[in-house]
Amino acid sequence: MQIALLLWPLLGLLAFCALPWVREGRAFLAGGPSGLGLLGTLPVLWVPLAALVATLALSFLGRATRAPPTLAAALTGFLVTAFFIVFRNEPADLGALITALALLSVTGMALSDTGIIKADRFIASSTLWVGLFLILFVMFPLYKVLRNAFGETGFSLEAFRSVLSSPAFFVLENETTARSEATLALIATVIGAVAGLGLSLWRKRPVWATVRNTVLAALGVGIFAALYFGFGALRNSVLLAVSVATAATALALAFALLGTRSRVPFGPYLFVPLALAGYAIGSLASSTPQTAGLGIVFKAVGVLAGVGLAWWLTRRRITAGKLLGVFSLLPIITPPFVIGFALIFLLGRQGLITSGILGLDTDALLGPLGVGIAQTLAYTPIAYLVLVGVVQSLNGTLEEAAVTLGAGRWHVLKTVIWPLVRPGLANAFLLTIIESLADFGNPFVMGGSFLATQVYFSVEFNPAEASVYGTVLLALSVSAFLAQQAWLGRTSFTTITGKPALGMVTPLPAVLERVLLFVFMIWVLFVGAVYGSMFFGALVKLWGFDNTFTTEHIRNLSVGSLGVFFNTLKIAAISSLPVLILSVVIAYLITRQKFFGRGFIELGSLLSFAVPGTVIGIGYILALNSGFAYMTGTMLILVVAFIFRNMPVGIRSSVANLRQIDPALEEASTTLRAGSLTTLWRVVMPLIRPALISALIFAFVRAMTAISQIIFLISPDHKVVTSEVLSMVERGQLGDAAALSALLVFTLAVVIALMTWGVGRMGGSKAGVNV
Amino acid sequence: MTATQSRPQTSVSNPQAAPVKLEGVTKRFGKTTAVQSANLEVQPGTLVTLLGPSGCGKTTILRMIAGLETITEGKLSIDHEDVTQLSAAQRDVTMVFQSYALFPHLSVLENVAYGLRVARRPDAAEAAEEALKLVGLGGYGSRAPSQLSGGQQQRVALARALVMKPKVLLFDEPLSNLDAKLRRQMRNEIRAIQQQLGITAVYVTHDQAEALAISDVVVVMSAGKIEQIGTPEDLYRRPANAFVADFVGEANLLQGTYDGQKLGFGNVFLPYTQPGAPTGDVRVLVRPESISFSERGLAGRITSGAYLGAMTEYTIETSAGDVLIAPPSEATILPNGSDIHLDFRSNGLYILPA
Repeated sequence: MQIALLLWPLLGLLAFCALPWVREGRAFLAGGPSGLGLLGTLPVLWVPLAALVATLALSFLGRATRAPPTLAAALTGFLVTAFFIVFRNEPADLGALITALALLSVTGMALSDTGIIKADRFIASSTLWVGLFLILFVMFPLYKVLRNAFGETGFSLEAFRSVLSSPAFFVLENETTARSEATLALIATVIGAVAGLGLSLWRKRPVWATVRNTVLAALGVGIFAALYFGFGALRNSVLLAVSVATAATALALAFALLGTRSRVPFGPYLFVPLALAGYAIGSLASSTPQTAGLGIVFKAVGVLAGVGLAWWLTRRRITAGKLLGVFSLLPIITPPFVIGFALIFLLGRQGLITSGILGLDTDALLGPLGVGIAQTLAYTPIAYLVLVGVVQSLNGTLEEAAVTLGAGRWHVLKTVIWPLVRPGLANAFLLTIIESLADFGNPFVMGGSFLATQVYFSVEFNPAEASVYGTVLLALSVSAFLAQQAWLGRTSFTTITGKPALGMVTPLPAVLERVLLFVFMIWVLFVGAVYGSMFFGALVKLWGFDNTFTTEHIRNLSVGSLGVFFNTLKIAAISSLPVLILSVVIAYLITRQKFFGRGFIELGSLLSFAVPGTVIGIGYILALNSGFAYMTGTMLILVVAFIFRNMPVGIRSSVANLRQIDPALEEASTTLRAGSLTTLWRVVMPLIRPALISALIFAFVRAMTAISQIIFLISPDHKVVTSEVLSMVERGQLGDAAALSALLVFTLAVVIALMTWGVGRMGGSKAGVNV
Repeated sequence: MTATQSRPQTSVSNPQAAPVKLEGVTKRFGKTTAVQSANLEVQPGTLVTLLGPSGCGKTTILRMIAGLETITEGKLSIDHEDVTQLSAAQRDVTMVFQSYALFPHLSVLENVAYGLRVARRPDAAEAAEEALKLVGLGGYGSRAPSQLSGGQQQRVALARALVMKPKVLLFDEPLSNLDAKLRRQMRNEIRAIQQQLGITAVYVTHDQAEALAISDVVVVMSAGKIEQIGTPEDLYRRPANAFVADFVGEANLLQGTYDGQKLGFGNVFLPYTQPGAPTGDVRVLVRPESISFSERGLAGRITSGAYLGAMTEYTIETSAGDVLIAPPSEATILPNGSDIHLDFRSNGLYILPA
């Protein structure tokens, strides 16, 4: 570690002398003058130079004598450099950045040497690095959003006032409708109050509880009624989030129970979906002029193949749990809005269900209802992943105890399983609320006024308004997130470790199992239709109008989309390694180290999980569009956005994995005189390697499917697949959009399959990634 | 009896063996005090055991010596050098963990060589093989830790700690995961290796028999405080207070009277002198092996009897308090409610300080 104290000042000196200090435009390393070259005109730059030379010279002294002067020199050098960069406000180039980082690293090491930070050098320096990054790329953009919302110059609520009073945000009393929404809401409030009072009196609650229940019931029902009867983006977003979260959590619980407790083969339920799928493939195959006469034959073969497959699955006794594993992966490889756009094929004016089956001529099923359906389809698997963990970790001996005490299956479900999964339900519910609020793509594709889309539509002509929408969205998400954290805080974390549960689980009541399997069948049918229509949409001329087979859309990909596709692959790949490194280091810091500032890092990294993509997107636009951190229009800003967007997921999964490793292993390494970097590298990393590889792949996959923050940051030179699909949908090129989406989903499915296979071969545990 | 009669001190054959000194060491976690100003000196080359019920702070002291916990107040020196501010990686101390903490991704040999590799020692593999031979596992180097039995894993952990030739070797309840027979065998081996190498060792256990068997000095702790420091015999024969008397070995604490020459239980008096002991009504420690049934003596009634094989354990109600004795088993076990008399041997008694 002695060498590190030599290397960092050397690196800083090299950067100071050889690399450009400021940028002329947006491009890095475009040949501006170095720090050395600017010394004449900017004498303040003598300070970092002197600091670098001083720390270099001091590193040859003994630890005790060296540490205090090194700290003083490095800290002064860093602060002067940082303040100079920030207040000079010219786009900084690598010379300035590396100089600052080198001085920061030396500061960290000196803080450790002097004993001010009670941790070794690696921990001290990386804490400072992580803190700096969090400030720069999470806190600073958010600050800019708030700053914009509350007045760029001086505190002002003007922007807030104008947005909050605008009917686009929320309005209760609509003058153009015959009924009075305000009166309806008032009536609902009274009903709520009466119900709360009546219930409390009936159950003979004490006076204070009666008053509290009455007020809470009145407020709850009143607010819900006001939202229900009202209009505007706030109303739409909140109502949507609550409905989607309710539906997704309920479905997810059903599936989690099926996945862990159903032993009945699912095959019999698959005859209908698979036969339909066969029929659809048959009719596609018979749609070309050459095969037109063979329609009956193709369709019959398709149906027979479907039935055969269902029969085979029944024979193999494939349970619902096996299929659920696959279905839970779908949202990871699918951008949520792709589901929304595939729904157009099903529920649009020419959609398979609206026009083909129901014979309607309407697009009423799109819009807010469509957004709700798309989000439910997209987020149920996410809620499922949370709940299946909870249900799996239920201790089977508890159920055995209940059964030996004479409880039947229904009774076990009601008195043992339900109370134990309730915290998990709250967790899944709030997680889905956060996802739904943040979703940008589906409202964008389907239409309707929502908070996330309002941010986007107002950013160009009125950044302050966009910031206000962003602030409201942020407040809602963070509230849901804090509620989730508070709820989780009260339940034991051990319920969600990967520990195998003991004891035999009780089977589900037979009737319930059949109902749930039927629900799952409908789900499979619907999801199959959604993905099927995406692939079909890519293979027919124009879905709904001309269903003849064509390779036109696939050939169109090479016109421009393939370039974007590979560009996205590149950006996603570049960003995933820093995500991995940052995630592991932060997870290690917050689970295993005690130091000043840990709370800040934990909060900062967890909070960025709750920040909606559109908010971080507008924050980046506001913060990084000019000044010292000018980055917009570069590929770098996309990489940075991906890194800090995907980092929270990486942290969560790394933390979960670290919690499963006995801390004594690391302590053993420490007592054998290994520093924390060595311990991390030689003990921790090898032990969580399978999880690391999954985290790496998932960071890559999430970068490929991200849209909400990216839509603000793309530039003509640097487009990504998701934004390309969105603009194709906007232009009405549904076939091309379907082809590109299908390519994306297919590629990511292959990546995930390879990863699962690879991690399995490494003999590691199941890919432990928390979504 | 005096302290010179206790077990002979290990000769300091190892010139590297280092003393450890705790001066007023205190550890607080938030508002709870885990260790309250502990003072302790560990002589070079000796094995000192920290003994106490769970939660008494013994493991915290061990971890503070290792550097795995910071010291809230006080001073810790190893080999006359103040190490209070040094991190675990900077201290010349190794530890054998309760869970062994063998790295599952490394072979047995690489586990033992780990610390040497970190220090970039060129002879890491040879030294590790040597250490494995010392603990009787020569030739096991290429195996994975999971392929070894619990006792063997324990030896690997020991070899891994020994190979660093530390100034102090720490043991954190190393035998608690082994079955009773293996535990006895391992504790003798640990003691033999420690004496052979003349290494300074600090050993944590909650098992008083283990502590008595293995230690040069035992430190009895309770609720964050050191209750007594002494040789195993000191603790057993001359406990500082009722807690130590009760925690170390089986103890009968009886009400008696003492006038400087005679000790009385109820109507039974026997000649006894204990310099410095309080007089009047006193609490007397009577070990079970110092009491036997007799024709006359302290009257009592058996309230329970348990057959333990070689011995039978009786609980007896007397006017001086409940008495537990464990005489060798006879052909018949006395039934509950039997009236008996108890006789005392004067060298198994100790009047507890007031």
